Amino acid sequence: MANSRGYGQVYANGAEIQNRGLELDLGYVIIDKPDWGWNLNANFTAVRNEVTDLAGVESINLGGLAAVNSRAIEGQPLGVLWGSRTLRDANGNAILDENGFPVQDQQEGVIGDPNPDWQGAITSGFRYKNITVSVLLETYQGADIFAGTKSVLQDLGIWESSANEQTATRNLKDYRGNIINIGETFRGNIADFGAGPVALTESWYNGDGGFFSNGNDELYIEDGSWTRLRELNISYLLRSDWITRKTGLSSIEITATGRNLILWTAFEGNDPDTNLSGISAARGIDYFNNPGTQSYLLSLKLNL
Amino acid sequence: MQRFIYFFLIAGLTFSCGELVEGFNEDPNNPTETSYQYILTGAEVGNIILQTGETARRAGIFSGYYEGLDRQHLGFYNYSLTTSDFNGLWFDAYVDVLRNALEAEKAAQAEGVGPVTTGITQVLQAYGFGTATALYGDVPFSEAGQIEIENPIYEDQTFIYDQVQNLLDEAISNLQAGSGRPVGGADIYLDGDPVAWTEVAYTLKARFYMHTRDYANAYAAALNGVSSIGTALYAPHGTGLEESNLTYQFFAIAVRRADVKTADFFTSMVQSDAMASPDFSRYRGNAKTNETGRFNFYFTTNSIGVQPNTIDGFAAQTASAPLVSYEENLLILAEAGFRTQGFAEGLTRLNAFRSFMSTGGYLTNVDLAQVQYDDYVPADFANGGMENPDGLSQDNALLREILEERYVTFYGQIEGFNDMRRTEQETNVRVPIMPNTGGQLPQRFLYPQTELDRNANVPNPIPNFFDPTDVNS
Repeated sequence: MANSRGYGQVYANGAEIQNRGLELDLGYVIIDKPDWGWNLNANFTAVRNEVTDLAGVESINLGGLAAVNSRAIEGQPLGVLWGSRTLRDANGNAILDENGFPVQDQQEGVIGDPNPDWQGAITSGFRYKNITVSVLLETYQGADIFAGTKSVLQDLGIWESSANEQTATRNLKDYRGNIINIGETFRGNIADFGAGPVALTESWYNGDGGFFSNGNDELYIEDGSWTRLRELNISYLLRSDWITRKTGLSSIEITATGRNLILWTAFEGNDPDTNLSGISAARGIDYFNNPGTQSYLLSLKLNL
Repeated sequence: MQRFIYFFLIAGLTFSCGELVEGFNEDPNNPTETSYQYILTGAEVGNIILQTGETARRAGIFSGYYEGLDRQHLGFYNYSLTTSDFNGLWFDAYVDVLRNALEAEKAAQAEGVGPVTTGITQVLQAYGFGTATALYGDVPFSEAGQIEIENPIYEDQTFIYDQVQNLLDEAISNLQAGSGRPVGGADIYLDGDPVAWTEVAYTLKARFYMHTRDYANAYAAALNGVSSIGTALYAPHGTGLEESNLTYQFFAIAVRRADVKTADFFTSMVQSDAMASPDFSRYRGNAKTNETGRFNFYFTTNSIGVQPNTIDGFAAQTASAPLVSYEENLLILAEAGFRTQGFAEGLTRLNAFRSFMSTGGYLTNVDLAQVQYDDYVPADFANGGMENPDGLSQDNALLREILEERYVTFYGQIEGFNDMRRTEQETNVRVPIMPNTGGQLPQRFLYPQTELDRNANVPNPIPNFFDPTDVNS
């Protein structure tokens, strides 16, 4: 509640959300012979979520960081990312300072939507005689993520790109307006926010271009889409009279499983499928999360 | 069977939502009512946080006292702020101080305690509202701190200053009744002393009249204001971890020394060692003045720079933090006296302050060999005098010295930020605080994100960090 009422918070059941979407699930058996077979299953989900009523409150913090958090806001999808952002004019163009760097808005706002445009998966099973192979591919597309780890490490100067050295090919201004002369080599990067190239140096990463000193969080909203080989499974079934005679077992099955084997994503650093707040409505924040685990399993099944 | 399922579904939908959260708001850690004396103590503790904690430190970063070196303090120093940076500060004001002060008054009245206790709670309310409106401009007043009002309206800053004066008048008449003191120990500031509280109320009136540039009334009120260190309002502190001085907690316990240091601008004013001074031309010392004692009360120097003295000075663990001080009252008399009564009165009052300082004043660790505050004479302010080497008028030279004295005395308090904004247009005489970056000085605290999220009556669009509040525009 508004603290000017004199109190901090009150619990109430005061929100409504609405989900509209499409879920498709397809399965097809391509080959089904005694010795070999192949099937394919696919699913597709696209959901549009909207918070439709918040009992008169403008926005509720669902969790995350003090700087960037997930919010419920009327008219927005549940869990939109909220934080500091670039000041924009009426047409949505970023306002730049006299040195060519984006000016930060004193008011925070919605900076990203961590909900995917769509997600889907394909599973396929293949068998040949006693060998069975199954594959699970998953994809998650069009979700924003806040690259908090990168933001912090760039602020501290220990992200890989902060070690870069550049040679100015023209005179460049840094965040404080100091000129780096043509031909001069400096530590940092070159970027163009719309008014020509500028030098991103320590003053930028310690200021709006980083995390701690009220950095501009919107600059670290990135595409958190990913596709992965979620699971690969190979098993072999041993069944013979000899085994049954010797061990009394009807069959033995050996299975090798690998999980999270390959990840395709443009997001740098961590696995974008991890979440700071664990399982909750607040998601899409990468801030020194535990990385996703890769695992290998070998199992032996004895069938009586 | 199917019928049962429908029945349960319908029953569930009908009854579940309301009951789901029933009882959730009964939180044994957050009692909503208790006896008046506990609420009064709570309001006073909250007020220590508001007046001497992060709000004062942030105001100091905005007004030339502190330099932010790292983390969020670097951002504040560079005026890179957003609304959510003020959530906690607003909470300190409205929940910790004002709600408690309002509830304490209600509880004291319900329990029939008597007028002095009521008066104390009213002084605390006026103090909190006056502080809030000085920093934020238009704020909730009439509808604030009442849980049943969902969207408290924002009222005009000048209206709130008027109401604060009325509230203080009411408080004074209650305090002067003399009976109904709070139970011993509940008032941790002055233990219910009605005479001291009356003086404090007058100095607060004077302070808020200064904010609105009503110097005649400020002078009149200060004549009845705090008359000695013994009747001044201080935040008491002790050796317990949580009861330590808040500046001590920040610099010595939280070890934020690497994040904030004293700004060179302010250091230079009191650093008497020319070799150590960042800019010795700013030093205030002269043939009649030695600021070494004040420097040593305020500061110690470490590898990061000049920092608050957490050992035996201003920010020591058990150092009482000034809230409404005798020295402030003396300097209100000096400035308001000069502005309304003229040069002679201004000089007399400034000399009264200097004579107080010459015996140590508010410097609790003073070595008397390190202080000198001899009386100034009119010739010192005449063209070419020791306080006027640059050819100001005699009047302006005196006013400049009074304003600078106020600035140096208000180190660690919100008042320095209020003075900076109030005197910004008086370019000849103001303390020449420069913007940390860009060309503008900060003019206000931003409305917090929590209000923007949850109060439909917050001004829209919200004023900018560099937009003056009504009294300063």
